[in-house]
Amino acid sequence: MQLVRLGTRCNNACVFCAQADERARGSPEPSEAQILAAIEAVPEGEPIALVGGEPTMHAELPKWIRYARGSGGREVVLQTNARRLAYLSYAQELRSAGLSAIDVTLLGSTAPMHDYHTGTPGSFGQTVQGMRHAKACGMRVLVTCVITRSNVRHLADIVRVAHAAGGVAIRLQVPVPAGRAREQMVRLWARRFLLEPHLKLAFAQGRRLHVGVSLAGRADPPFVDFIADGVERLAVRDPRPDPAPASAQPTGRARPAPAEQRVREHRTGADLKQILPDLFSPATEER
Amino acid sequence: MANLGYMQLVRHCNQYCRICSNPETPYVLDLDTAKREVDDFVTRGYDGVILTGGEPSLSAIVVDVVRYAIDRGLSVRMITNGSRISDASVARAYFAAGLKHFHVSMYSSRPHVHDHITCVKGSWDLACRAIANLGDLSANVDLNTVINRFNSDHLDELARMVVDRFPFVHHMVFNNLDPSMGRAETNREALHRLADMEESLNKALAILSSAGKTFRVERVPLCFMTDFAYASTETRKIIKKEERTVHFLDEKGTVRQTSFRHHKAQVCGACSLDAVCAGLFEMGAGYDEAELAPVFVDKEPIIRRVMGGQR
Repeated sequence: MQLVRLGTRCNNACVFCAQADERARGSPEPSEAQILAAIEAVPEGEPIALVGGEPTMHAELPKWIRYARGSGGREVVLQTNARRLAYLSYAQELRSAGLSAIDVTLLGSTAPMHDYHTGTPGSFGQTVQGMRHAKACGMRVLVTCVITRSNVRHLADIVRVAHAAGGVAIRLQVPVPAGRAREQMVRLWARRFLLEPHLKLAFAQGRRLHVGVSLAGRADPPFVDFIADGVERLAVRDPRPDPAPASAQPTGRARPAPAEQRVREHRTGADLKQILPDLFSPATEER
Repeated sequence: MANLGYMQLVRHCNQYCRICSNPETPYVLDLDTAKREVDDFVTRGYDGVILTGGEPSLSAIVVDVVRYAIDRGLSVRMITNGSRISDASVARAYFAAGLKHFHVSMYSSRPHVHDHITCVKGSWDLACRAIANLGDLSANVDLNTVINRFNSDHLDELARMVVDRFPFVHHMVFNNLDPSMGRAETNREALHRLADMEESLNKALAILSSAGKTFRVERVPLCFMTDFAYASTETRKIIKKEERTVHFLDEKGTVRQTSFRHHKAQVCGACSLDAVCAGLFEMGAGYDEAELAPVFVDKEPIIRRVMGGQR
């Protein structure tokens, strides 16, 4: 599968977007000629994945799909948030152009969860509708979910929702520490003790629904090592700086507090009246 | 509702904890003022009083205050470092007066870590002896700990120790470090990141839960204890609309706390637990709001559990 990049333009604002920096810098979008040349360079028969940003932001997309499909009828996959496919006519247009599958990013099992991750209210409803339309038009629907601390407890539910919307395979992956994700990693990163039990539930849900669930095959440390021992065990290392506690060897006494008074002159009676006046108010005295 | 009042008997201590947020002042409560405080809690309709400090067992009026509070219908507890109760005769005297519920401070399962935090060599041994003495008396013993950088990676060890070594301890309290005042303000090396304690805290709570123990966690935002949100002190008080009053022995005087909300990050607005979460204590000054992440679990079971009286 060869990737052809269509630029970084997007209608979502995902909390982990790896391309946010590039977009913020205003990096130039590839020209149509460059895109067509990239498609042309892919060996005949090899499947093509068109990726963004969000490819459906380009009006020329149906034309590029048709070009990529070519006379040989090779497979063309679109990596998309599927929001625009919520319009059935648009999904039909892409299908007619020769699109065989979409790879949709689904980040939550509910609208609040998904929309938080995309930074776009209403995106969940459009994405799920887009998946349904894609399936109805005869396209295969693949799903990608980026695991965060905010959705990790719901991975099994996300598998269920993806399946109900037409998904036939769900790929789970951890955030790539680039772009916005690099800045937000402390907020995003689900540690291993959280991840493991919920991954197992997600895999079990996949088996129950007969839908393929996999962990993205990133093996580049220090992010994920996948150990295929039959029970989907993971070893995830925290990419943040060493959180080891400070040495607990004796280092002498603690430093005193700013206002700490070391005198041991014990005060009572009238002194206490100054700091606890309510207890010595006339009303209290009469009680 | 079960409101409890806090009474500081003294503000001096025989330890010098680097995490202390109530360090020494010269004031010592006399019996007359102590009775006024007890009367004040009774007037407020409170259920009990917690004797605290400083180290309250250094006060000469403990037995008298306990008897007076019990006469006035209040339950009485003491938060102590255990050093004096390590003497069995002191434990027996308190117990005989009616003080039968103790919170003993224990900061680590590792003696050298506990002693490093208290700055007193041998303090871990004394605390263990005190717990054993109270166990022998069949007193109600809770363990209090303060989460800080030195114990943040092995809180689960402490929970395991409680379960294995002190099976009569039924309740643990985890207080996240208050870095805003006292010695905790000047000894900044004791301050941890929330991420540093997330795993060991959750493992500790799971160990206690599996063993049938109860627990409370204070000053930890719910996104770091989502699966045990019902055990957050602030969340319970928010849901049950509880309050607490503290008679401090410093310039703060009497403080009635009816709000248990701290600071929130912008992302908290998306969180399903926002309404029942206190947020982040000392956000920006001690802890980093970048660590907060919204969660999307259903808050209704948490509210039902808290209102249903389950501990």
